[in-house]
Amino acid sequence: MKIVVCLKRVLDTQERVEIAPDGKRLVSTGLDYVMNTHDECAVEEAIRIKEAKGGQVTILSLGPSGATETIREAIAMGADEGVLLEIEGDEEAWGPKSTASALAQALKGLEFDLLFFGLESGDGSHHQVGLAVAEALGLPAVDGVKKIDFQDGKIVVHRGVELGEEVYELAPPAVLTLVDGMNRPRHPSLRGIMLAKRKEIKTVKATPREEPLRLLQLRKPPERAGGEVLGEGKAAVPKLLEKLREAGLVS
Amino acid sequence: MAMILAFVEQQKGTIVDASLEALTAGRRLAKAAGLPLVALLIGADLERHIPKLKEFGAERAILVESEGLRAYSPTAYAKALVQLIKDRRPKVVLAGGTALGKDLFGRAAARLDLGLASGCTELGFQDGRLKITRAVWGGILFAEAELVSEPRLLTLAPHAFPAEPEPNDRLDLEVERLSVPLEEADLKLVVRELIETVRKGVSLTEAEVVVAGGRGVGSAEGFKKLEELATLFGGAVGATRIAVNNGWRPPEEQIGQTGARVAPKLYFACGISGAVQHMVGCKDAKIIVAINKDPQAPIFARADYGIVGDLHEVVPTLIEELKRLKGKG
Repeated sequence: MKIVVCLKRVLDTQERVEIAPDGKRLVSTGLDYVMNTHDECAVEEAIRIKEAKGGQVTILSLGPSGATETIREAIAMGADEGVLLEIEGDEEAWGPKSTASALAQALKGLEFDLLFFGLESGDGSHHQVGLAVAEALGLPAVDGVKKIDFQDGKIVVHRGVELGEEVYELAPPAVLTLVDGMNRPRHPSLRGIMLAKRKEIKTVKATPREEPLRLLQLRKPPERAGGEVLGEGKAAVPKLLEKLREAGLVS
Repeated sequence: MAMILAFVEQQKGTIVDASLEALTAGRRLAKAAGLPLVALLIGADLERHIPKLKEFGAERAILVESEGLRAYSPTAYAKALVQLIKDRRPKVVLAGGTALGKDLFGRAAARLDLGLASGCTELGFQDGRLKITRAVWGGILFAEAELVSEPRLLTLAPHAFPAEPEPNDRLDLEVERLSVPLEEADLKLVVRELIETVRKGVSLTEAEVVVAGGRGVGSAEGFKKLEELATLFGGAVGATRIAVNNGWRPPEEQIGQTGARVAPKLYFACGISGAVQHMVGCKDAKIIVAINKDPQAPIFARADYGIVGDLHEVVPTLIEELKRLKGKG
């Protein structure tokens, strides 16, 4: 089974979230880039399928040249090869429409049974690139998949919804967007890391199109006001109960 | 005809809360723009939803009914929505940001080559222009944006527009029935089965009390006491990404940037440091109580009430006290 996984690198905001003076991006100095959380699960799932059924996993990513490192991370986990659609110039010019067009264009030249995306990116959170690529390629797609089974040449997928799980059946080639939590992504092995280092990443230049959604400025949401520390250890429990009683939460 | 079009989703015969939020947001936009609010429903047996649409101030309802649309079919629903948008050219088309809403609007935006602003938290008309605020970075930041393509497609962030019925009773509601010719190809993708989550108690997103645990809980076993506390309140258990990644809790219980957003009356954060990635999932809670060993943990600056101490001591004491109070009552 041939699987292509589209992934994105995102800024790791665990340490700091600071908006740049132009209001349109985050200050990246001193921060690392990491594989988008949902995408990491998509890579893991693809590798598990390859291990069970044989085949090949190809990574496709759009980003500046530095994104090759993220592709290598996926190869170190167990993917076979990688292609970078390289952005020149301002990364912020790339929105979901441009990204979907460029990926769809590149995918026309690739052969696959399954095309995986992460549910959405941790930065732009637009939640539409995977579906847009599926539409552009005329392929069936299921969004928000948390489980994949194979039954007599059919792919049976479980999509996470508010009430539980919707079950769909589809035939390859198909597009699935996968969600964080469906598996626990492995850490790359030392051997994997060494292999990935030597791997050549094919690079193709990409240019954006006009984006209908224009970012004016980023801002931080108002944070919750600081609270009151009631005390230390179990001695503070009666005080807490008093507060909860005042709020009508305990009788 | 110019209109604000709200897509209304029903599940198991009831309009979902997220759609009531979409109707509320849509009604405000419609008033500001001087346009009618039109509700769009796709499915089967839709007539029964009319009273609710009136209650939320829709002036007109468009019902796209067909037996083939009874179960959700991403392809067929997208066809119906796309055709209607093409025919009516609404100013704005919006939906709640549910699994269905996001899926459907993602497909429609692609088919129509229109911009889509997802996860909207604030909307307003300013000099005839629609000002959009979106939750980005999984909710840790807001992006002010505008859509230059029309019709403007929007999905809403959960809890951003609390559902509010129209205060003036609307007595009249014009109902229009439409049919969309569906071919076999349109129904290629359809829900074969819905497996409903069997819950022991109340669901995480609907619970009035949530007891959440993080790294400090230390083990799956450690969550037993959190479960007991949740049960005493008739609430649900939640977890941070770390707790889920460690296999202590199932992924359905994850709260935060890549998990659920909850807005309970009371939120216990036990052994949770309070990283911004977690806080986006619980910031709408009325009261947050933090229990953490580390007095420097950022959670204490965000919680309403804090106890500095070992949760493995504090939580059992809290449970005992609550049981004692219950016994008295």
